[in-house]
Amino acid sequence: VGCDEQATESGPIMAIPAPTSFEDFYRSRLDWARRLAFVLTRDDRCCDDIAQDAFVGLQSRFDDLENPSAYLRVTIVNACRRHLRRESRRQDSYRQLASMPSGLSTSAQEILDLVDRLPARQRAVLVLRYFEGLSEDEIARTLGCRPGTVKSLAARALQRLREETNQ
Amino acid sequence: MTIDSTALEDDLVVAFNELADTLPQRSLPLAALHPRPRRASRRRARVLVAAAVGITAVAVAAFGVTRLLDVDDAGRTHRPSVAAQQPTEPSPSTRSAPSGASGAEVPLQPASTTDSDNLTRAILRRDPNANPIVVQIPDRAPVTVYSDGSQRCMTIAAAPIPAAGDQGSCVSVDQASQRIIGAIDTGPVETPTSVTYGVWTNVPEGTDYVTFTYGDQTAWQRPVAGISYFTVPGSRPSLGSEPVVLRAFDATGRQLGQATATPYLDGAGSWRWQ
Repeated sequence: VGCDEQATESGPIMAIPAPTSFEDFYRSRLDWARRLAFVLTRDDRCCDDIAQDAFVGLQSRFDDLENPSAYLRVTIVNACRRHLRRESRRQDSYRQLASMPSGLSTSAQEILDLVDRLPARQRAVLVLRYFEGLSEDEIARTLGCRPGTVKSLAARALQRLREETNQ
Repeated sequence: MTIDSTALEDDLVVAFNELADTLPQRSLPLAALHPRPRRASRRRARVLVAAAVGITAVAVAAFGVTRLLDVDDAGRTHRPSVAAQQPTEPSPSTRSAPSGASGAEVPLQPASTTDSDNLTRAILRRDPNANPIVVQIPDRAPVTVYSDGSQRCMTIAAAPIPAAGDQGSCVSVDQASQRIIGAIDTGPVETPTSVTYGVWTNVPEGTDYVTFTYGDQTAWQRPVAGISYFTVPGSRPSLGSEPVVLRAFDATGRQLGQATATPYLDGAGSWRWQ
């Protein structure tokens, strides 16, 4: 079962007070949205665009959603996956971008370079697990697939990272 | 999750957070929230649409006949002033059909809806020099044309039902007088409710009317504030690689310029326009 890209309200309730207006929500979640898009894509040129597009898509539905944060996360993850698929067709430019000096520690740079080589879905699972701290079920709801699929994707991603690290 | 806590997993947590912390803080005002049109050169086929162009029988039937008899000499092709937020021209053509035009008139008029006003305010808050202009063909989405740095852009984001597809596009200023840019409003279902919008953002000054040609389809329009647009049902060119051509004429029938868009099938099997 693959992970679809339909935006839903899946995911956990955020541990922040529920904003009462879209403006409050935007202010409180913008930084989080940008950071999530940035970690997923590692592209500071597009993360603002992805975050803003996600808010635009959410705006008209905001009053009808019980969990806008979860909806926003799904939208961002899907947009980032599309972005990564596009970028994967431009391997050379992307690799060049990813290898640019970034101010990261050496160990972080190395592991992120390995993560960059993973398929977009595997990368999304790792980011949602180790950056967002989501559970397997929460990741499955975010990606629109079964928990078993998430488990498999995570296992394959970690296995590949271990293999690459040991080489 | 059954992923064991290992050094690798700890490294991932640290690396992701280190990476996130390198992202510069940036305050993006809420006012900036509107879809950003993509460059025309990268848009999918349907977008450019120029192809697009066409006319809806309903719009033509409803308005075409009434335009044939009346007269209005106000200029319709001024470049809008920087301060202008809405075109000052009167509503669509009330003059008789130009002798050189064929087909029916597709009436164009300045528009102001709640959504388009909100969009205009947002554009202006982001860039006071954007000079957004909103025009509309009856029964079609308002088209907002504005400047974005060195580009001229259009968007149909103020449509009552936002398009599910791309909602706008841009073209560099130096090409804006020769290129048709556009968008597709897919509506709730792409087919058969899709409508393609083809927009000429920089109609030459002095233009009295613009003709539309797509295969044997023809129509004409009085531009408003230097803008002309046509629509055609569907999201794909109906005539293959046949170009859409818009031509601008002055009141004497002298051609002042033209803009085109030609669909082509790219290597990935998607229709694009150039």
